[in-house]
Amino acid sequence: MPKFSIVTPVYNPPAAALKACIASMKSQSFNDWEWCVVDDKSTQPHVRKILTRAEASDRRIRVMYREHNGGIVAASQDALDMATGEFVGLLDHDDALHSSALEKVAKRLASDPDIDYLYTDEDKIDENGLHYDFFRKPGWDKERLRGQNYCCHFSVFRSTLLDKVGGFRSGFDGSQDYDLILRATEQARNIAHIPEVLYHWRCVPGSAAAEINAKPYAYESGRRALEEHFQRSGIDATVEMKLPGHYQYRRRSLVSRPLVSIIIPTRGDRRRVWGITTCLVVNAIESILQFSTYDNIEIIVVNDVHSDGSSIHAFDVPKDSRITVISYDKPFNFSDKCNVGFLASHGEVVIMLNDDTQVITPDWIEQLLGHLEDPEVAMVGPILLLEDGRIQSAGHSNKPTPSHIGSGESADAYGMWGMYTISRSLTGLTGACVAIRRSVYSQLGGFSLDYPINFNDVDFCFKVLDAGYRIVWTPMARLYHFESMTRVLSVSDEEISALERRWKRFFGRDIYSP
Amino acid sequence: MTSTDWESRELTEASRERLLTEIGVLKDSLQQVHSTSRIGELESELISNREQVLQTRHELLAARDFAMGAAAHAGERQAQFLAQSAQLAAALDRIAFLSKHINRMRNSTTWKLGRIVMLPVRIANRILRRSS
Repeated sequence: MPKFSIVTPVYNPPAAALKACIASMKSQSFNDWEWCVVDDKSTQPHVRKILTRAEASDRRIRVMYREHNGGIVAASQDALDMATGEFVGLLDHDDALHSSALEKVAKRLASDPDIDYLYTDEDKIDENGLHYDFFRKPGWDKERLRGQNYCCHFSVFRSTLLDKVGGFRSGFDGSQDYDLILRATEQARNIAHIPEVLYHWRCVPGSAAAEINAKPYAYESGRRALEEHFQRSGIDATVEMKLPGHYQYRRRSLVSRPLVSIIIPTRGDRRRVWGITTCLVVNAIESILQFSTYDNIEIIVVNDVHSDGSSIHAFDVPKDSRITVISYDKPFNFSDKCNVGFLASHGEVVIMLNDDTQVITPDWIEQLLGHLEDPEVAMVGPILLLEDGRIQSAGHSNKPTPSHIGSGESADAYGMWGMYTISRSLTGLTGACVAIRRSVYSQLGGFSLDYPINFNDVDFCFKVLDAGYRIVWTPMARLYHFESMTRVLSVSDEEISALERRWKRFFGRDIYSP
Repeated sequence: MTSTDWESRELTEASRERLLTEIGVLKDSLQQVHSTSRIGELESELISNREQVLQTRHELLAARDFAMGAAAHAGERQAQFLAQSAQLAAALDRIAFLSKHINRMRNSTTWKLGRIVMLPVRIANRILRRSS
């Protein structure tokens, strides 16, 4: 039994591309493989000639010629049926593997016997053989796979897992690999990623690599594959395509509707927003009450007061029994104010919200809660926009040091690989708006008092990851964040050194934003 | 018994009953006063306990963060140690490589011939150093 079976359905590829594909297989530095090639009744005569010659030149190459053209799913399944290897890799007829692809994959698989599925980075090759579109993929991210088939090439499956899930399915032409990856990863024991380009996706005219709208049927198949994935996962959701190959899903209903405590630390400041002098906290509360469709909420306002109990800046919150105002008379410490608010709250989920925010999407709470239904997820954040509509934060990255993703970009920007259009796991979120499970906030000791102004969110995110939870960012919930309108932007040396003392080893390393 | 005696006895009886009733009323009032002040005491005790619980929960939160911070700090130190160990190992490897290189050079014929050729110069240098 060979280590690898590479399966390739073939239908009328350009001669040069097919030859390059064959050459890439034959040049593998790892020898224990077989190549299962199925020609789907190609009409161009050069295909059979090239394949016959290849088969004759290497006994590891096995070619089957279908009597009728059955489409990519039928041909792929026939190739899969020929496979006898311990692992199965997918290779398209006009693409190429890096010469050490199988060697590196074998090495990674040997390091962990529980790996059932593995994927690598990829790039594209143009007609002149030049490499471009280097896709540095994130580590395994279930959430991102629900938005796009980011794993795609080069995908390697344990054969027994493919037997278990039943191989390719008809009816998903063009996205048969996405459907297979979704079903396989639902059942895989362990999933690995090799952060190296081991697959080269060739752009030939008419291919999906060259033209994003080349195969519209494929995107519809992808949408259906995703819908079925949600059904299997017990999530009642509708899926729509945002961009070709990029999907957004919306939960029709939540499993439960827990009490959500929205905690807003404030000093009651007034600032000009869109030219109008506005009491920020009142504006934030009014936007919550006016726009939010989720009604099982309480709002805890933690207000700075003088030592005699009088407000620093007096304000009147709207009359609503769900609002509680707590006085905070200690020296300013944002973290402590959040913790005080948390201790006064009762919700199963807490949302830490800055007072200089304003709700845009009415179902923002439902969107955040939906992700928290996954027990692995402890923290969820929305996309935050500046007053002028540009992105303030699309989450945090640790590269090179903790910083905002997407800051200053257009709210309509897709981002690299469409990353602003889909929900995904991240290593951090901005504390201006985050939903956290109550149990986790308590377990992790809340926001650290070592960070009175800055980095309390960064530190908390590191604690969340350190405890083994995931953090999810979603563009489906949108809020304005009139950033730092309420305080002077300054970072103290103490806060920087406190952060470095705890987490410097993670700076510059980010598996979700490589 | 005369009618006067009867009246006087009735009057005594009535005043006794009235007194008893009054005593009862007074006792009730007294008890009420006691309960009210007890409730007040209990209420203030409850408020104080609640504040203490809140304070303890607040401290617990900070203590948990402190413990996590200490663990993270230890992790940071460990990572630094491992990085320095790796640097040290790399430096030792380099030293070993260079030592081998030096040994190979010293054992080479070229080096040995060079030493022989340079012998008079070395002797002359030594004599000059001694005389100065």
